[in-house]
Amino acid sequence: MKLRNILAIVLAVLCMALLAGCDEQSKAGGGSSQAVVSGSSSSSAGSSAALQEAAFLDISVYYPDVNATGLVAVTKTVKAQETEKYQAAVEALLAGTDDKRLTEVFPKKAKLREVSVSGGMAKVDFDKNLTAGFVGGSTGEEMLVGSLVNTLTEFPEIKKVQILVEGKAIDSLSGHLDLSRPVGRMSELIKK
Amino acid sequence: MHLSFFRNRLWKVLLVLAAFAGLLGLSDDAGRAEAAASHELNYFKYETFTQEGRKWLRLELGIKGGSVEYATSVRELTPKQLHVVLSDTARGKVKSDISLDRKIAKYLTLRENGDNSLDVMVSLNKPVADQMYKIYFAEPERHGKKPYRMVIEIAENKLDREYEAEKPVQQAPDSFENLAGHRIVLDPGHGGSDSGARGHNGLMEKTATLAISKNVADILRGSGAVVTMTRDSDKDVYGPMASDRDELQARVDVGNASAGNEIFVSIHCDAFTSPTAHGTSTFYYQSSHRGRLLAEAIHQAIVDETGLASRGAKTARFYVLRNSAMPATLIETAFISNYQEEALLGDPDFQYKLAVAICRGISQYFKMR
Repeated sequence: MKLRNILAIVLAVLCMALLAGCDEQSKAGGGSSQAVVSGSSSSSAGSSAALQEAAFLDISVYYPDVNATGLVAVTKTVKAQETEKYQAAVEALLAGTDDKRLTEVFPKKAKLREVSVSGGMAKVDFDKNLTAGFVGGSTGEEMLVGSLVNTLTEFPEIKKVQILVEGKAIDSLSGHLDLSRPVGRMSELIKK
Repeated sequence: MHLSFFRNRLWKVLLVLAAFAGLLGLSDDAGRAEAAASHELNYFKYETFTQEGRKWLRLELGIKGGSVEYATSVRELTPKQLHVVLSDTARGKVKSDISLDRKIAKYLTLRENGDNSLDVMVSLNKPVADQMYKIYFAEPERHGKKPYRMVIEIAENKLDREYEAEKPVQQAPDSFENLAGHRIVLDPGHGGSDSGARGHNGLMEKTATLAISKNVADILRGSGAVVTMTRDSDKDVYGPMASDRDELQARVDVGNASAGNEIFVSIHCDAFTSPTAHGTSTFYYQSSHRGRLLAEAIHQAIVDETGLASRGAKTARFYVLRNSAMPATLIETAFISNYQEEALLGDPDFQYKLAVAICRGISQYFKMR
């Protein structure tokens, strides 16, 4: 009886110590408040070898100003392994910004499924909430596509971006911009 | 002795009970009167702000029960008093007499009328006719702890162009030169199963684009042009729930069906996630020189005649621009996601004014050619 009590207490203390340890670790991994831990859900269960390769990376993420007159670059620090940096960049874009002069244009529920890059083209696959939850008109479409394309073409190896929804090419977001073909960098939208 | 004391007490108790009943009855009546109005004020705030070098006073009246019908009026004998009468609204707990900034307006009174309406009277320093004012509704702001509001904004003065804009629209049908015999395709954006973007107060893009386009068609036809519309009612052009490509191609097909058609004009309302975004833009396809001339002529006329802020005549990879076999333009008239511009887009007078401007731009284009 006594032994069991002691065992229980020891176990409880151990658990607490473990939890505290975890907390500490995630804080350390988070870096500055600006930083975004990329770890896409698929990789979080990844091997320890993959985690060791993950490095901090400064990337420029583009957001529209509240009057939608153009896109402004915000520097974010992401932690990602080399092969997942594109995914991390798009996740950082979807995570939004605290800057009051800027706003978010992606539907809140839209989720990134996958980014694949080959031959200078990035195929970015979102779930159906990208189009189902989209509320903008021409300007909203332009800002959404521009922010994504400009964020990804910051990587010199990416020249064009094709948006997919649930794995399939789309004609447009809500009937304006033709998205059936890959889109190149929209530098005219960038505010200096 | 004991009995008489009890009787005495009983009498008092009954009296108190009767008084209570009376009170209850009264408050019940009052409660009923309040309940009869389906809206009630629940918030009031005023502030001054400066916009484009001009001082404004903003009054915010929180309205429980959402959007409310209202009418504005100025009485002949009291030209400095602006009355905004809200139908079916009670004053609630907002004070009945409120002092204001004194620079633009002295005070505000709230009076409940017998017919459940509420008279919001703002006493201004100058005659109402000489002050610019706007009224619109604003959605609740969770962070600012503001409920759904009616917002009244009053400027310290009125600009020449604002006096000009108020002159009654000429009743003589607008007609333009250079249009006779020209073949023009009009494309009212969205329609049917696709309502397009939606304003915060419920206006649908497809409704506004159709109303504006019908006005444009009337004026163009009155000027001798031959007009083809991709749709002239609330319907899909390809069919309900079609893919964007099929729907957009169907619109392009209407234009391309006749080699005689000379220009394609698509009319839309813009939208954005932030309600701040406002203004008008006109788009053309990069490689189309004539498309650019057409877009620029229409854009200039809209900016000149409507007072909407210019976002520019720009290039865009829009499907209908890219695939039309003729000079094409897409007009994003104004932002349906902006409170003020949503109200304008839903206003028949403004819809007509936009249509006149678009027709003037088209006339200008054919004059240049």
